[in-house]
Amino acid sequence: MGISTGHMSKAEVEIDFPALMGKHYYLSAEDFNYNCLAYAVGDLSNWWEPPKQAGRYWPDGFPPDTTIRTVESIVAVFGFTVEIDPMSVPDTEAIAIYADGNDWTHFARFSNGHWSSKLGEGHDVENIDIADLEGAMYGKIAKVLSRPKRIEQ
Amino acid sequence: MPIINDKERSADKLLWFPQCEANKVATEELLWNLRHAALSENDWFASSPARPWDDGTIFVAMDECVIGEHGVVDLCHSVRTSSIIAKSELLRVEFEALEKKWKRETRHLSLVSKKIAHPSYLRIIGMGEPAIPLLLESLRDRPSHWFAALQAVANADPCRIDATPADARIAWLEWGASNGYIDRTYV
Repeated sequence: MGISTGHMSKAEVEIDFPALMGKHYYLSAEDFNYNCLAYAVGDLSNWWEPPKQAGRYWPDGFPPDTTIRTVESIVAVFGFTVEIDPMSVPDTEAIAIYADGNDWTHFARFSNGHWSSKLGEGHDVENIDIADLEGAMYGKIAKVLSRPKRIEQ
Repeated sequence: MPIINDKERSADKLLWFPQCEANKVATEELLWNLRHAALSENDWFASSPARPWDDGTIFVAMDECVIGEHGVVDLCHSVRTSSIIAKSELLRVEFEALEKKWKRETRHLSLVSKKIAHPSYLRIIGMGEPAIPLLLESLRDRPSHWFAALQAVANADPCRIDATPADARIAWLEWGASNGYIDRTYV
């Protein structure tokens, strides 16, 4: 999807995320078209960051800030409303929010039984432990929000 | 003292630079002279884009710049662009080093607002207009979020507010091609 901007090796990724060293995970090609929040909500064509401007998307009707509170209300539109224990394995789709204080810094997504994430303009990483991305770059996991399964009638 | 302080009208209404061989407008010589003028302290020609000749001389300056009566501005624009491109070559090594450092140190950041605050990105903006061709080449060949830098150095914004990164890239590349900074083979 989009234009590949290159390919870093795992060794280069692990400089920023040393907890990934020795782990079995997958890297996609790099892509500057979308960021972690876009990836988390399933939009691979936009870079989700306020304020809205050329090259950056922010949904209408939400404050142009990077607070956890605002982004919680945004992902709620996509159905991610139930907070769960970050240490647990979700039984449905979920989004992990990383933060530094009150502002988000990063997101990961749980779907198809594993966690994955978009690392800035860089790779998607798949099959990770979300704790492995905590650290100087993204801070700590603030909360994990799951999307309840629809009840079939 | 301007380097180019002499002009000569001929039946073909050609502008001769003193350094050019007589009766011959050689593209390579002309471009050399333009680059020389652009890089010199006395590049009044390149720095005076809206300087009409009082006697209405019509210029045919280079192959891709055949112009008519209203073409003085076009010529001057072309000269100005050539000047910028010439200066950009002097900055290429530094630019590529800054680009590499910026990408390496900000590649994983989730917010463009943090990426563009990096000292290397700011230094590139500090290069001014000569950074334009280099930024466009990078956007074309190694796409990244150069949009803020391009807006700053070009003092222009060809993008729609709702442009995706891919749309914004194309808009800037088209702007660059229209203004003579890059060619059109960027698809």
